[in-house]
Amino acid sequence: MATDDKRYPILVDTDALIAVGNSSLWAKLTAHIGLTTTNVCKQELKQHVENTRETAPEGSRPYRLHHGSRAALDALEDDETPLTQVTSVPRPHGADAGEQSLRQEVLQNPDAVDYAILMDAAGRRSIRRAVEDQDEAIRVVTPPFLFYILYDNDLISREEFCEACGELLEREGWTGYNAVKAAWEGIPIDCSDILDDHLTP
Amino acid sequence: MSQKSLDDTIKFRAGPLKEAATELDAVHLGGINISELAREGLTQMLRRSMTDDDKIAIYERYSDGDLSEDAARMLLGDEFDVLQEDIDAFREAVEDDTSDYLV
Repeated sequence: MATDDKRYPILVDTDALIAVGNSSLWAKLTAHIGLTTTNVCKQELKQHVENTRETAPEGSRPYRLHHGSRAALDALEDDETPLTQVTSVPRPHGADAGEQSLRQEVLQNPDAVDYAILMDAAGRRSIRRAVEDQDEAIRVVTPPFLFYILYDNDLISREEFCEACGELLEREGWTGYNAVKAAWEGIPIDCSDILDDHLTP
Repeated sequence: MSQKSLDDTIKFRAGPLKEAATELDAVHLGGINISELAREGLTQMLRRSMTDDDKIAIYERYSDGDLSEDAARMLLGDEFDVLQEDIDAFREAVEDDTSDYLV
């Protein structure tokens, strides 16, 4: 079994890494916030890089998968960057193996996890149910929570926070809307003076 | 769902669907509840007809108070409830001391 890296209390899945890996705040996120993912999610990132072309049309889904995954993998490979991985045992397989690996990690090591961050709404619900069943105090939130940590600690401005949310809204359709709406309603924060009308719902 | 909205009716041109439904009602043991089947069928088809942009527009109309919760939930199904959960989870998380997570 591979030796696990340092564990950080924020656990992120493949699609959350891709979403924030494509964001304008990626460099600041990886400079300031400790994140942990699983070896299964890392494998999914590698598959995305292999299955998509670097030269895919800018802004297309293959482009986002390729470049977001590449950014996350580069950070995982760099020992100086506080993005680490833990090894899932037993190793989940199948289409939702990454999400399963997070659920397994949350259930096996609940004391080591404060937040689980996933891009997929059904995945969040599934892990939230697992956490509730175990009566654990782990919060399951959408990826803009990482932008919020930077904002809450004065590492970015409201403008930068709103623009990063706007990027997600523009790129990720209903999935992105869910992620961003949860942030805007939950904080709450008003981005309407910063984003274009077509981005602010 | 309120009684008022349950009493609302939709009229549509049924074509041979009317004869088909009436026939099944006659031959099926105990009959069938055509209204109930129509509600379920229309709900499913409305959900299937929605694009991402439609869903966003619907949730925004609900957020602005221009669409009832019943109607929004009917259109968005489980996704409506998951979004409520996501908002609640975020609301709780912003109470935390986030400086703990900086390196």
